[in-house]
Amino acid sequence: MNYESVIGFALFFCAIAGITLYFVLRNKRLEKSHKIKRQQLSEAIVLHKTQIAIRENALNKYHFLRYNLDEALVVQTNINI
Amino acid sequence: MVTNQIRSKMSKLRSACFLVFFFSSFLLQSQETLQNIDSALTVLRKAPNDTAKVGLLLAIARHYNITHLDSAKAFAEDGIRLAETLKYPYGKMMNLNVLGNYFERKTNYEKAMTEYNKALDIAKATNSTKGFAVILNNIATIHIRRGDYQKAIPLLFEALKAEEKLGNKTGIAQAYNNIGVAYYYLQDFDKTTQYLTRALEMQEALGNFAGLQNGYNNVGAIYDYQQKYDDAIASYSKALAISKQLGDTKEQASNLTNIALAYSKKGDFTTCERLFLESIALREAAQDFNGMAHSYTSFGESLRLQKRLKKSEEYLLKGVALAKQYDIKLSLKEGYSSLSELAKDQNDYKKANTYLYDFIAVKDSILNEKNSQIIQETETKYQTEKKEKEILQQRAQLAEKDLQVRKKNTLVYGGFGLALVLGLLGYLVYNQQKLKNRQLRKEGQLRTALAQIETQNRLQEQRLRISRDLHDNIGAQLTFIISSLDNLKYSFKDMETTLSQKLSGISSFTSQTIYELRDTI
Repeated sequence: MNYESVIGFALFFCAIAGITLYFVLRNKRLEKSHKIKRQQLSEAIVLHKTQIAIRENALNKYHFLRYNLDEALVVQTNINI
Repeated sequence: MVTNQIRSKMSKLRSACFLVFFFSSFLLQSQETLQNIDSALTVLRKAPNDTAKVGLLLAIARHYNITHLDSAKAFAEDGIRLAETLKYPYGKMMNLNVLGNYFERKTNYEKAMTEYNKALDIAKATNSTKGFAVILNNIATIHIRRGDYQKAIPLLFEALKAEEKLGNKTGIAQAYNNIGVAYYYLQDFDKTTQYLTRALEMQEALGNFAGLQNGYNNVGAIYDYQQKYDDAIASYSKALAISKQLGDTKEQASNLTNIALAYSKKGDFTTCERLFLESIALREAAQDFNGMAHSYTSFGESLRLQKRLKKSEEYLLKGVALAKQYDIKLSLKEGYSSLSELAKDQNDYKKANTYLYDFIAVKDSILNEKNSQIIQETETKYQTEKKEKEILQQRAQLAEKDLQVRKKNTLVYGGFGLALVLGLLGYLVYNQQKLKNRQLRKEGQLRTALAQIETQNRLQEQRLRISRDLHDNIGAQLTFIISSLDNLKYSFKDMETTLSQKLSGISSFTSQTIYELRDTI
């Protein structure tokens, strides 16, 4: 194998390695950006879920009649016989 | 015994060597005779002294060399002088060559050689390969005319090499022709046939009219040697027709001599004599001493065969005298041979023996062992060089093929590499696109989930708001109704049972309404 061939092969492999490296780095960058977006969306969902859960819990604990009675009932301080 | 053997060989040789071969030294000139010499002379008178005039003088000298030999010299000399004044070496070289042609045609071989040598010096000084080849060829023809074949053949091979270097097919054909002629005189008929055939094939391929004349003449000589006289006459006649068309009287005379000799060998002495006399007349008119010597000896031999011994002796002696005067060894040899045979016919064996020894002396001077060795060496050298050249050409072809294979390989590897790069690029782009799609799909799913949960959240918020409204408004009012009913029951303890049940029923219904309202929300 002569000198030119060696140079040719070296250039060829460098080109292959360069192209591969470029795409690997680009993919990593995409993954990173996607991860951030996914995280943001997940956080938003979790926030909503938490809010719903809290509200649901509060609603379940609410006793309409009792609370209304508490409010409606008038305590009679003066006993009028 | 020995004498008889020599006589037998001599007789055999005579049949072959009485033929005249044509050299190619005048071919160029005969190809370039002027159509209108008067116009050329008119132009010459008015022409300024420049290189064009040198060329014109050269053309006119060439023309006269063919048509009116005596007029040629003055123009060639004028050309040389003008070329010297103008310091135009090529013009001088070409005019010197034409002057050499003139002297050669005048059978003045010494002067011809001097002019050719001067021209050769200029060719060497100016590195003119073409000039070198032509002049070497012309010098070789002088040597052949003098019977110095050992000097002629190396020069002809050198001329051949120069023509091959130039790739000049006409020149190569001429060199082959002259080498064949030289071998003919050396009685190497295989080589003669080989070189003359090559020359004729090339001339035919080139369509060279003047070269064909030469070729037909030489092919005729071969037929003559093979004793196919009718074929020989046919071939010579073709050459004669071309010579007549070219207006070359000298060549016409040579062709006529050859035809005459063929008729002599056929036994048609009447035609033979007529042709010989025609040829001699042409040669005497042209003052062609070489041709005259040849015609005289040939005609003398023909007359001897007819047993016209007196007239035969007359012509043979004239031929030998001329051959001696102008150092024409070939005619001298043939003349002595015929004179020896003539003396034998006259029963003068002493004289026959003397002539025979003279013949042997001349013949040996032409064909001695040393000469043959030199010629053989030259031939071997030429063939070796030719083979070396062929080997070099083959190597060059191999190198070229190797280069082509390398180029092809490079192309294949390059293509493969490019395909690989493109494939890899495609795969990587596809992979990246796939990744993007997957990410978008996931993001889409998350966005949908988020939208759903947002909607759910808003709905719940809405429900909560309605609950609050119910709690604040309807709930309070319903509770107030229950409370009022309870107060009524408490205040009116003695009311009817039916009414009390009715009030309890309304209170229960209201409580039930509250619960249902809550469940509804």
